[in-house]
Amino acid sequence: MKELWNQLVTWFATHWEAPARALGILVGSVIAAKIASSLATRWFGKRFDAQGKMLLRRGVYWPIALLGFTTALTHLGLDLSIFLGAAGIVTVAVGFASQTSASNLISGIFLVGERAFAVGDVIRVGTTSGEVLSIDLLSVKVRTFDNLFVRVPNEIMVKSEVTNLSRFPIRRIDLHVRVGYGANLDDVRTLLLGIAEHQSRILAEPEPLFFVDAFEPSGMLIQFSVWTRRENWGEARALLQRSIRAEMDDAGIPRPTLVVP
Amino acid sequence: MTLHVSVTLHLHTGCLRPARRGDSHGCRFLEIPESAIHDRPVPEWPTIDLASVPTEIRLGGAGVYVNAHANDVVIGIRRDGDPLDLDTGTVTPDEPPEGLRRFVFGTRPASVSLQPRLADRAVVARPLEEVTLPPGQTVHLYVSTPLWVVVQAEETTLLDVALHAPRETWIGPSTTEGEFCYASRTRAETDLSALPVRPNRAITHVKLENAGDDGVALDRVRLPMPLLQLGLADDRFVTQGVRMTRTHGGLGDVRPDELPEGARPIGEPREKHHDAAWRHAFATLWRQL
Repeated sequence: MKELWNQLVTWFATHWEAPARALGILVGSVIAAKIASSLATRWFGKRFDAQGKMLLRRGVYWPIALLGFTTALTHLGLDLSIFLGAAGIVTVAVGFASQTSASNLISGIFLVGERAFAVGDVIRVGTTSGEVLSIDLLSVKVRTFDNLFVRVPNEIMVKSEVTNLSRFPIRRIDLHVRVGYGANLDDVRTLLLGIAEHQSRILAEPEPLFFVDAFEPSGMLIQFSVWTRRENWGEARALLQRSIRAEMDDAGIPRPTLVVP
Repeated sequence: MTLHVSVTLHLHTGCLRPARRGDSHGCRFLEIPESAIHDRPVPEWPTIDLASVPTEIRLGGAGVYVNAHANDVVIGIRRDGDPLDLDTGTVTPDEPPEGLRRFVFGTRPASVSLQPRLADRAVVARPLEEVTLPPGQTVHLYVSTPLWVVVQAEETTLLDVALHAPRETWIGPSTTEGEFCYASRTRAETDLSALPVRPNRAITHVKLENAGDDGVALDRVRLPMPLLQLGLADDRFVTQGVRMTRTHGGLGDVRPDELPEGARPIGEPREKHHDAAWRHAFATLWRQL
């Protein structure tokens, strides 16, 4: 053991310059990449959204870091052409063995290019809804409303129906209200429009929509739709439902009858 | 600066107050002499001495509540009345309104001032009744919009808020493109004297010209309030006028006018005047008949 240690010490004493230089280049290039990506984000980041900033940061960081890595390898005396040839063979082998990862990788490129959503958007995919934290090479990271961290593989994102809930500034709230057949529809309409008018979070325009959606055995199903800012959607919907329930009771609007089969 | 408002009063024992709907702020004493009640001058939006607080300045159905302690100033807006009420004056409030804001100072200022200001976004006013403009006609409409109140301590703005928060609306070619504005209804009066003097609204003179070959219905008017200058003329709050010309088949051209003659400017517009902003302010939405 001691002999091996002595051999190592002797080797470093005679060959220390090349590894030290390679290490210095590697560390220096990583530091330079970090500084350059930070500066690029600071100088040009104002022109981009969160997604654009992330791409800018990575677009500056990785080329510099890779250049440093290959330069360091050259200083270690490694022939890059052999290394790259071996890497090609390894890539083919790994590619066959990891088709899912490769699929995710390509899907990730499509996702970024398509711009169906960006970092910071609120999306719904399958049963998961939440804010997009990052779009990475293999997966999209989502923070759900109950603060869970969900990793959705890019392949699933490409194959599934993804709903972007925060793409447009306004959203519609669709409420379904059931009333008995004894209810006067004009009265119900006036009441619902009055409630919407007094809710500060409901927009005056686009105008609310009121129509009978279905005649059911128990009563009439009314659709009442109003518009709100997308960020107010949940709160406005909850307030509206509470007000409708209370004011319909106060106004004596007949409720649907219970139908026992 | 004085405004003249006629107010009907009810006399209560030890409490003089103007009649208005939704009176729930519990006035104890209205500090306005009886001689100044009928057609009385509304004082300039006042500077409040923080040595005599709590106090509440009533400005047409809403009140600005101000209180102070050793190192802080507490401000709140009480929206308990009808925005169309005309009550003004100073009351001593029994209790503070909800949603107070507390401002803490190293050295508390001796006073705070109230300043009127125009809305911080465009206002879209829809006529209560359909207004039709025959071809070749030029009309003058008067549209009133709600005022904001700015509370300042020396040079620092503490609060910049609507006296009566108007409803928001969306205006644009579709639900995906457009902008948020404030919604308002207007009687689209053609006679300025028909509009009551209100302490919480400013009147904009809108000159509409139909240079097209056919008649059009005026669906709504979009007034770019942040670009307009507020002023005071004949005891009313007024703004720079707006000229809107409907051209052949087009949306039309929008240009700013000067403040009415003799009007005294109050403060500065929220946004600087520039042609691009006015070009963007396609102010009128015409509907072909």
